[in-house]
Amino acid sequence: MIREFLKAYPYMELAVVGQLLFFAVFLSVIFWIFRKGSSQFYNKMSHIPLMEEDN
Amino acid sequence: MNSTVNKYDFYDDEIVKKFVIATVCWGLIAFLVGLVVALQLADWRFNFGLPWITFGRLRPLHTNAAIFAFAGNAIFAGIYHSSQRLLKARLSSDLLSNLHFWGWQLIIVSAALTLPFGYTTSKEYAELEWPIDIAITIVWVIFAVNFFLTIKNRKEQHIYVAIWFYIATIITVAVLHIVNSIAIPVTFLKSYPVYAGVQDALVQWWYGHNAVAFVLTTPFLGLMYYYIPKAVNRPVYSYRLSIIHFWSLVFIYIWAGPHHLLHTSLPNWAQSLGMVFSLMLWAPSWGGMINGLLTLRGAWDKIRTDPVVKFLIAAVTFYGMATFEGPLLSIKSVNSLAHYTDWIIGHVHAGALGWNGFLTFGMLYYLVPKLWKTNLYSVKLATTHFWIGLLGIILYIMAMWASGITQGLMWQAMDDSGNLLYPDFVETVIRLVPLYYVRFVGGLLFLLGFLIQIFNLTATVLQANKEKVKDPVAKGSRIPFKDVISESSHRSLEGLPAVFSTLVVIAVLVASAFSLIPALFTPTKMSAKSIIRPYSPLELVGRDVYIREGCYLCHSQQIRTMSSEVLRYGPASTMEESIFDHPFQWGSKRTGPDLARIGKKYPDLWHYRHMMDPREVTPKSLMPAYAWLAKDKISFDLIPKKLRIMQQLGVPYSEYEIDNSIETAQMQAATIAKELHEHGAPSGLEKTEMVALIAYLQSLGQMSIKPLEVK
Ligand code: HEC
Repeated sequence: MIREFLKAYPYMELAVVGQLLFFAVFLSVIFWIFRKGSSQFYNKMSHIPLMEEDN
Repeated sequence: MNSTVNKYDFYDDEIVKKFVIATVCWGLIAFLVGLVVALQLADWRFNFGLPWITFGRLRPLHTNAAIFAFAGNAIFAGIYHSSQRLLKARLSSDLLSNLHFWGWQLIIVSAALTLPFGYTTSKEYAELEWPIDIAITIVWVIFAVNFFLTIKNRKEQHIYVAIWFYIATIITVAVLHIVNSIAIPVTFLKSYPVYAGVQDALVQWWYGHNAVAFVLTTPFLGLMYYYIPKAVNRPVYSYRLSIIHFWSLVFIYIWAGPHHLLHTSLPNWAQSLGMVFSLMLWAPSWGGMINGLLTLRGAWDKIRTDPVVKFLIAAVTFYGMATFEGPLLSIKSVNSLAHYTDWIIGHVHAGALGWNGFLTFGMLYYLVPKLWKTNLYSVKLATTHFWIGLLGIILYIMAMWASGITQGLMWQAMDDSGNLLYPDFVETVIRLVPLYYVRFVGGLLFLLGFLIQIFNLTATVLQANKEKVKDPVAKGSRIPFKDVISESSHRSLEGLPAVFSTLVVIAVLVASAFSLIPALFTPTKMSAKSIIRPYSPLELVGRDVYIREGCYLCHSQQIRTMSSEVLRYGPASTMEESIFDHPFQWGSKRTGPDLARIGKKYPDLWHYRHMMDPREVTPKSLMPAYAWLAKDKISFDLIPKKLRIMQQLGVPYSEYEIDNSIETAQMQAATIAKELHEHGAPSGLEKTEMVALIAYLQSLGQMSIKPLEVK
C-alpha cells in the first residue's frame, strides 16, 4: 500500500525544485563574481596570503 | 620578556605547535591500528581471541582516530596558523585556544577508552556515546567562538577564500553533529538514537557523507588555498574559480548523502536525487583541483626540488581522483557492483591517504621548519618519504579495486539456468585474502614513510635554535566599518563575515531539509504495527550485543532490490522491517553475508558453534571467534528501562510487556539454553549473552506478522 502511495505521488517535483534551486544559486554566483570592476578586487584578494614575507 | 610588549602584537604559534605534535602522535596511532585491522581481515588469528581488540571493536577506533584525531588535529593546526596570518590578528584568546586543544585531546582519549570496550552507538563515524558527544559540542563551540572573535579582531579588511572554507566547516559540522547524535541515554555509556530504520539510515548518511565533505574536504581545501600559494609563492590560479568551487560544494554536497543507500528500501526518487547531485559534484571538484594544480604555473620545477610542493600537488591530484571516482560510484549500475565491497574501502583511502594524508604531510614539512625557525633537517629523506608513501597508496588502492570488483562480480555471477555461480558466500571471501596481504603491505609502506617523516621532523626541531623568536603580526589596512559601507568596491559580500556566514547556514539548511524530506514519507510505527512485531526483550538485549561487538562492520542487514541479492538472501528488505530499529543496522560493508533474513536459516546450535569458533562450521571463515559471549552475563535488570525508552520512541510495547520483561527474557533464555544443552552444548548458558545474541539472530527476517508480499 505504502509502496503504491509512494509510486503515485509526484515526488520528482521536489527533485526538480531542488535542481532549479541549485541552478539559481549557481547562476547568481557566476553573475556576482563577474560583476563590474571586480577583476582588480579579486586580484588583490588572491594576493592576501603572499602579502607578508615568509612567516 | 619585556612587560611593555603586547602579546597581541605577535601570532600565537605555541598553539599551532601543540596541534602539530598531536597530529603526528595520533597519526601514528591511527595508522598502526589500521594495519592491525588490515591484518585481522587477512588472517582471523590476529583478533587474538581478546574482546577489546577484535575487528568489530578496533575498526571504529581506526576510523575515528584517522578522521578526528589525525585529520582533526591537522586541520586545527593549519586553520590556526593560516587564519592568524590571513586575518593579520593573533587568535582571540589563549585560554580558548588551550581549552580547545586539551578538550579535543581529552575527547580522543575517551574515544580510545570506550570504543575498544564496546561502548558505541554503531553509527559510522559517529560511534562515540552521548557524554562524549556533548563534550564534542562544547569544544566545537569553543573553537567557533575563538575563530569568529579572531575574525572580528582582524586587521585585514578582506576575508580570503580559505577562511570561507573554514567558516563553512565550523557551521556545517556543528549542524551535522548535533542532528545526527540526538539520542536518549539508557546508562552512562549507552543510548538509543531517536531515529529508527530508514529514517536513521537517511540521517546517518546525510551525516556520514557530509563528514567526508566538511571534515575531510572543505577544511583541507581551505588549507590548499593557503599553503599551495605559500609554497610556490604565487597567488592561486583563479580566484573566481575558487569562489565557484566554494559555493558549489557548500550547496551540492549536502544533497548527495542518499548515494550511500542506492538499491535499498529508501524510496527510489530519493535515491535518484542523491545520484544526480553526486554527479554534479564532479564539476566543482575538478574545477578546484585544476585551480590548485595551475597555481604552479611557471614554477613546475618546484615539484622536483621542493618536497612540500611534491606532497601538496600529489594530494590535489588524489583529490581529483577520489572526486572522479565518487560520482562514478554513485551511478546506480556501478554502485550495484561496488557497494558493500572493498572498492569503497579503496575509494575512501584514495581520499584519506592521498588527499588528507599527503596534504597534511606537505603542510607539516612546511610548518615545522617555519614554526621552529630552522630549515628542514633533510630534503632527501622527505623525498624518500614521498615515494614510499606514494607506492604504499597505489598498492593499497589497486588491491582494493581488484578485491572489490572480484567480489562484486562473484556475488552477481549466474549460470545459464539462472542459479548463483558462487552460492557459498565464503568462497567469495577467501578469494580476496591474497589481496588483503597486498593491502597490508601498502599500509605498511605508508606507515614506514610516516616514520621517516617523524624522524626528519624531530631532527628538524632538535637542530633548531632554542631561543624563541615570535612572529610579529603583520600590519593591516582594515577600514572602519562605516567607511566600508560608503566605499562601493569594498561593499562586497566577501568582506562581511556575518552576512556570509548566514548565507552558508541558509544553503546548508535548505539542502539538508531537501535531503531529509524523504524521512517524512516513510511508513510510521503506527502503520507498521500491524505488519511487524517489535523485538522480544531478550532479542533486544541480543541486538545490543550485536551493536557492541561491531557485527555491522562486516554484515549488512539490507537486501538490495537486485535479482542476485534476492536469489542469495531472499526478498528485498522493506522499509517496515527495520522500522523499530533504533539504531538501524543496515551496514555498509559485507565482509560476511547479509543477515537481514538469517533467522531460522540454521538451528540454534549452529549459531552457538559458529560464534564459539566460526571455523568449526565454515572451515575457511574469516570471522573472529566470540567465545566470551558464552561467559558474559546478561544484565537483566536493565531490560525494563531499555523497553521503556523504546516505548517513548514509539515502539509499541505495552505496560504489561515492560513490567514483565525480565521474566519474559529469562524464560526465552531458558528455553534456548535448554535446547542447546540437549543438542550437546554445555549447560548454564541461560544467563549468558550468547543466548541473547542467538535469539536476536533467529528473529531477523522473522518479524512479520503477515506474510511478506513477494515482489
Ligand atoms: C571480520 C568480519 C566479521 C565480523 C566482525 C563478524 N562476522 Fe559474521 N561472518 C563473517 C564471514 C566472513 C562470514 C562467512 C563465513 C562464515 O559463515 O563464517 C560470516 C558469517 C556469519 C554468519 C552466518 C551467515 C550465513 O548466512 O551463513 C552469521 C550468523 C554471523 N556471521 C554472525 C555474526 C555476528 C553475530 C557477529 C558479531 C558478533 C559477526 N558475525 C561478526 C565475517 C564477520
